Amino acid sequence: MSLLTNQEKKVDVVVSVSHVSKKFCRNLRRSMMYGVQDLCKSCIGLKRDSSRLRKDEFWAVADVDFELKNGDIYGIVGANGSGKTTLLRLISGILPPDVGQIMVKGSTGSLIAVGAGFHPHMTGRENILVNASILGMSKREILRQFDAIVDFADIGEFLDAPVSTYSSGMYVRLGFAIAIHSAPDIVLVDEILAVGDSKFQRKCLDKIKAMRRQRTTFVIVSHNMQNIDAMCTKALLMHQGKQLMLGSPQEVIPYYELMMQTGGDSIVQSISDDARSDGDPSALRQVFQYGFGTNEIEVKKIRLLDRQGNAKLDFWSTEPLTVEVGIIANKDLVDAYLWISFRYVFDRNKEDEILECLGTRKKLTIKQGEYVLKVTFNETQLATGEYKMLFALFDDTFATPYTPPAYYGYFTSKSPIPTMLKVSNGVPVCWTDARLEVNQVG
Amino acid sequence: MNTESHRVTIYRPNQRHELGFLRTWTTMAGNIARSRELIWQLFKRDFLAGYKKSFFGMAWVFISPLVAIISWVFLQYTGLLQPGEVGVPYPAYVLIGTSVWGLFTGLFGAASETLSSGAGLQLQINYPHEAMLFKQAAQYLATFVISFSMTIILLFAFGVVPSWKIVLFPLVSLPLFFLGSGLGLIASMIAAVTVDAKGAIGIIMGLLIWTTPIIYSDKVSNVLVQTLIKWNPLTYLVCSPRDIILFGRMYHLPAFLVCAGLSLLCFLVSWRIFYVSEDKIVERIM
Repeated sequence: MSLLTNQEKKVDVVVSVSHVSKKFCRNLRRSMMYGVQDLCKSCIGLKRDSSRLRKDEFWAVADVDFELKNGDIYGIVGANGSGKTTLLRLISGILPPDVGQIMVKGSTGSLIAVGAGFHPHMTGRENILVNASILGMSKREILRQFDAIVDFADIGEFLDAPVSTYSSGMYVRLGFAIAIHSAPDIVLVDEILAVGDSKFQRKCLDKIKAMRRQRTTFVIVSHNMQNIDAMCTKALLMHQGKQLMLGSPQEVIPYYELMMQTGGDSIVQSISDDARSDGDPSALRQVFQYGFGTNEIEVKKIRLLDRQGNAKLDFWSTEPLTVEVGIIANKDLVDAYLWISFRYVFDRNKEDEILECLGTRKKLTIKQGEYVLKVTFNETQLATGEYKMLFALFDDTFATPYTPPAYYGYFTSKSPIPTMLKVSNGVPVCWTDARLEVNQVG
Repeated sequence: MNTESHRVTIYRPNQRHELGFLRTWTTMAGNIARSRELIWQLFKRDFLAGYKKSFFGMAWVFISPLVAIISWVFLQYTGLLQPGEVGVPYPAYVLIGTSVWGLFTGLFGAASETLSSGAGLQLQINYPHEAMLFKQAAQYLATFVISFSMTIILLFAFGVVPSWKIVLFPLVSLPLFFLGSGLGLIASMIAAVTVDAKGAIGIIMGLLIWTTPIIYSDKVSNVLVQTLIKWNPLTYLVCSPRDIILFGRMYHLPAFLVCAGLSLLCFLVSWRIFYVSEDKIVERIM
């Protein structure tokens, strides 16, 4: 493989975004003035220097750089106004970049707003012809795909009713059906699936998977982390126009969720810190931190280890699980309590819907210094599902946490026998015996 | 994977400036040719759907020109207008003249909405925006053909038989398309940046008709008006199509040819300016 030339390695790249930035103006009057200025410059043949910000301008997308390969499903996540839709518009060529370059190999299909060009007074049938033409389909292609579009949209007799009488879900169904049948090589989707019902969403996801098998590439903007986790091969976290993190959805999603909880700035620092660390992908990422704790103990890293001491995030319920925590104690600890509990996650989008399942607390006396603590559970003992881990170190009264108690997640437990056990919320922590090992570093 | 799988597209700042003048026109012409189906579908959508929520429907296409005709006939027979000797019955003269003038202002108006008519689409889908110019022009021309046909039929009622040279009318009116569309393209960009432009342009267009011998004869005695008529290129571009119908001759052929050439130049320059600027203008429509 190492003999491959750069050119050969690039063959699979279908979208290359190279240090791309895009600016907008937040003042309407000034935006008009700049527009007139730019137009005048164009009239006399002068190029615009778009790399510098003028007064009231800001970078909506700043120095974003990544590549997409054939068949990738790329999720773009971030808070509202972080530049996700602008990035999609740049890739689809709707907006030109102000800095950098974008290369796109093949045709793109934008689902930035489904049903673009629908005329409210025209029927669904008539709008299929118009919308498909806008998406670049020829008359012959439209007629060939017409039945498939109607079948996929599944809007029944509404096909011959004006689209102004459609529900928002039906509107999306028809728009998505047309767009998906225009067979682009790269599909750009902007949070449109949220409108459809769950049956239609599943249908769309199945279609996306089928298209991926045919090497169609997707870029999906979504706030639904379940979809991002289930579908995407890579994820990009954006914050205030900047590319904050690029990695697997499992790495990126915890940061996104922490960002949603805390507002963003703290997580930017946290990601920068992680980037400086060894970047171990199997380390559990902090997803939520309570706003208290003395911070006399710093948590450097938390990993889950299997019997052989290998870090992983996926366990059988019958295998041993070791929680390895790297800490720096800034003071001596006498009879402190180490607290670990595992919490079942019903839905990643609903933070308060969790179930305490299993945990342990251990007494601990150590001197100031750096340590690696290992807590081993002989069996994971967790039912099939997804979990987050809560970790904290408390003083001897159990009243003051030295570390801010924090969730670290996510990891999964698999049962060797499919479990049918259904438990309801409110079951207390089942304390289990566990072995504690303390090793001083250095 | 479709046939476009291997087409590589690059987007970078000021990319369109790098194209030469000639390449701009061939690129845009290619885009228009490839967008034929899109233009046709959008034309159908906007032309037909515009009348869907109307009791009278397509009847409006006939009602508007009919009202204009009636008003000119009324002005003539009540003696409110004293236009001077024009060689044919005055209503026929003024109806054809205003129709041709309407062709110019209509094409200008249609072109000036090239960007705004696609405002809902431009930020959702990447398509050649110049296609909208032709959709707009086709939409206007469809209504023009209907009202113009009614006007021609009405000529017989005034005892005027159009010259056989009427077949040259599309060719002689072509410079009006170039001038109207060229100026309209620029106006569409200015209007996208600031709404002031639309009002100002409307006022200027309203005044321009009085500097062109359409409603009055070109044999007016006022020196100022004579000078305005002489130096106004629209005099030659509007009066020639009118005269070819009414009298079977061109209105000052050499001047017409010069103005036609300038119109074509205006169109080509505007097209170039539109191409290099519109992508930056469109983002200000947001």
